[in-house]
Amino acid sequence: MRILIADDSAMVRRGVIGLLSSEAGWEICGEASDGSEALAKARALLPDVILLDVSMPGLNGLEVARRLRKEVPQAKIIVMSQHDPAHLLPGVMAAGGDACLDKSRLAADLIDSIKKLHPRDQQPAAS
Amino acid sequence: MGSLSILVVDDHEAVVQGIRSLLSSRTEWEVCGEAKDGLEAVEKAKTLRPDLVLMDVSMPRMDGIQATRIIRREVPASAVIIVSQNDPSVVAVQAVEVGAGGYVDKNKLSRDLLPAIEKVAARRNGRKTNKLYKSQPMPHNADAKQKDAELARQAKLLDLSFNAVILRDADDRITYWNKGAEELYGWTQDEVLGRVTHTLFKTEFPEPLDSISGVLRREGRWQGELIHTRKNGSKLTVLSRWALTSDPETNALSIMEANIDITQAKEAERANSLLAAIVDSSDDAIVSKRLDGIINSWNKAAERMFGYTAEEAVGQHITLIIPPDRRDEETKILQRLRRGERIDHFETLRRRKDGTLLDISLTISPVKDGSGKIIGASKVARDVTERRRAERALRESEERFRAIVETTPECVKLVACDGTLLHMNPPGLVMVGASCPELVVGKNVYNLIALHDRERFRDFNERVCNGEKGSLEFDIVGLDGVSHHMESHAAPLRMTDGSVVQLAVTGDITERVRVQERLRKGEEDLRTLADELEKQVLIRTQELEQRNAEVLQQSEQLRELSNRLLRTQDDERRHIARELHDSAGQIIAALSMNLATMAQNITSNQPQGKALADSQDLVRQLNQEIRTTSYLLHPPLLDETGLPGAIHWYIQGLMERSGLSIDVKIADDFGRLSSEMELALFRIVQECLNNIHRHSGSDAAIVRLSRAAGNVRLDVEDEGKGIPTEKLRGIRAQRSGVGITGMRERVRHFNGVMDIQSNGAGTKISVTLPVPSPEPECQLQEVS
Repeated sequence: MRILIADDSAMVRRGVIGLLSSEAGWEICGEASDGSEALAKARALLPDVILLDVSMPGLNGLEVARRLRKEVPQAKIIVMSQHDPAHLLPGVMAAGGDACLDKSRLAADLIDSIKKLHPRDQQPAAS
Repeated sequence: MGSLSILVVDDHEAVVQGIRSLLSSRTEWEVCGEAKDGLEAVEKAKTLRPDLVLMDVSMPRMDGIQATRIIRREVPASAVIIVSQNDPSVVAVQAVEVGAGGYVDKNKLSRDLLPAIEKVAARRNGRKTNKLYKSQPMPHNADAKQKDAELARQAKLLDLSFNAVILRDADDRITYWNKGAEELYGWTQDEVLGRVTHTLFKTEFPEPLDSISGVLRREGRWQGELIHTRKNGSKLTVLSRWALTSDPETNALSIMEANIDITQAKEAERANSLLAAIVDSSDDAIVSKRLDGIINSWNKAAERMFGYTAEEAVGQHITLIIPPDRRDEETKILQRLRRGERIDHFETLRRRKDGTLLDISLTISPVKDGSGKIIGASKVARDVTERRRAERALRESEERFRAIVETTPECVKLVACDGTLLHMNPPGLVMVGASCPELVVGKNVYNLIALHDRERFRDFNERVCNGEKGSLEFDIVGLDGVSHHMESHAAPLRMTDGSVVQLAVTGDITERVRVQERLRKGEEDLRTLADELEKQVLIRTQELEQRNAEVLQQSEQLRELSNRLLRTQDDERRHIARELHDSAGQIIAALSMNLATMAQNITSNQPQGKALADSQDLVRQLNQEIRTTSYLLHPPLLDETGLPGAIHWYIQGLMERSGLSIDVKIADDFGRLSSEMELALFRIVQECLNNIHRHSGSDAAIVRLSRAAGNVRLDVEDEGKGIPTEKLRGIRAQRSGVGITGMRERVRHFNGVMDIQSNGAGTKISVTLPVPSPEPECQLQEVS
């Protein structure tokens, strides 16, 4: 599984890479530090999952999600926010996002959330 | 010369005596009688048949002219010589008319009387001779010498005549020219013999000569007035008598012409008739009387005035018209007349025929005879009844005016053109400080005028004396040295002597002027004070306005400051929240992931595992704390999802933290507002709920948020104890409550309204803000 991570904080990107490194078959195929870069990398790399910080310099995260949904329709989009995902979820859904996670709870929720979105990918990995 | 019997007629004994003594030198002349008037003369002439009557003209009862006419008719044998003191030329004509043989001026009696009598006597003898000659014509046998002698005698007689006697033949050529003619015309007999009279005299006839010749042929006589021219060219009027005679021998016709010069008489007659007409047409009664008081003339005005006709009055005594109680007046008048005095405008009373009295003014002049002797008086009487009445009215009016002038409190004065004071009434004298009129009247009034006004007054006086009317104010300095301010109204007044003086009524207006001056000054002071007051008020008002403006400005500045403070606070909070949340949040997120990664390789049984798990828990707590603090500082949802989301999130957290039960109602379609307004409303909700939580004691609250008609409306209620009255009053007076003040400032910033209702059952705060309509540009962008 190929994952693109878009967050303006390199510290957060390294944290996520470290967290996902334990999962066999999951590959961080690219990183982006703002919305525009995220769009460009997604078009070029066609990842399976895109982790998208909602607040980045330049384009607003929800706007980026809306475009990604159009341009890279097969990719699952997980929006990360520092705020309560419950308030953000309706906006994320409307923009075409697949899930919404609290950034501070990524350690607990990220892997499970990705696995929920791609259950088939789990099988080969597990087998 | 033969003897003459003479009748002397004169009403004056003295004259009679004078004539007698003149005649006494001639013994052959005898005064056969005397008469005192015309009537007596006629009677005496008839009885005495005198050869000559010496006849006075002016006499009572019948005058000499009338008497002469009668005598000449009744007693033709008696010749008459008029003795008159009147104008000789007039008497000459009258004498001729009435058939008198001559006249003598009374003034020249001693010189002319005797020659005149002699002339008459000679004529008388001549006539006798002539009569003889005519009645007893010369016998044909009389010798020529005798006849010549007779003719020569006749010629001599003719030469004696005063009259011009001319003989002319049938062709009007002069054949005889006497001495009288020579004297009258200036030619000698030699010069004129053979000349035609009418050519010689350049005769102007009263009727055509042919008709005169006709009369002469038919009647043998003609008489008329002719105008002749003398040798020297001067003209004369003659009374001409023509008689046709025939020579007894040759039977040739000849014309005898006798001419008397009546030039002067004619002129006098004209003058006289003019005079008579004047006298008759006069409005004044003109009466003449003799010194004994007998009236001898009475004109028409006298008839009208006194009611007597001339016939009734002439011959009567003048007492006819004198009232009985004034008879002595006549005696005195006569005495004065005898002394030759003239009496002018003697005013008295006379009585009319009907007994009524009338006021008359008499002018009486003595009438003198030729010798200057006073023989009577002419009286001119003017009816002054009307004038007297007018005079009385005038006198009364004058007295009234005088009383007014004397009692009026103002100065009444008359000033001549040169400044001489002619009159001044007593109040005037008091004003100028004169104790008696003599101190000022007759003196120059300019001396009383204050020096600075003297020229003006002199000018004014001269203008008034030139006919102007006017008023003048001036100062005087009285004789007592006291100054007065005077006001004078003056008019020109024409005096009886024709001069014009100033009549002035002058009042002392010193006091009036002083009062006016005080009044004026008072008014001025008042006006100055009022002006000053107004100025002060203006200054104070300006100061107040300035203060007000300053206060307003300061208050505006304060508001601006407080707004800026709020904004700064908001910005700062937003900034701190971001920093805290975003920066710290990222670190915490990374930290928790790193811890999780580490935990994948360490079992929880290991001591490191226990510490790792604790660390992960601490990171979660830290994250929660930071997030709560940050959210309270600035709710991120406000920016991301808008006001309803932020309010819901805040209330959710507050209910969890405080235990308050809060009912929130926000319309689903509430939408978004400007971030500034959303923040302001969020802060107001936050403030209100904080107050409810901290102060009200209420455990429940209601929050309502809605939009309608361009407004957004927020209500926050509680069921608490309410705001204490004292504090509420302070809040309403905008004096207290920092929280409330902050709310109020936010509301004011958006031109909104905040209302606070509070009582024991709770408090309700309502805020209404106008929502600006979205700008058209934005709408366009959205559409495109």
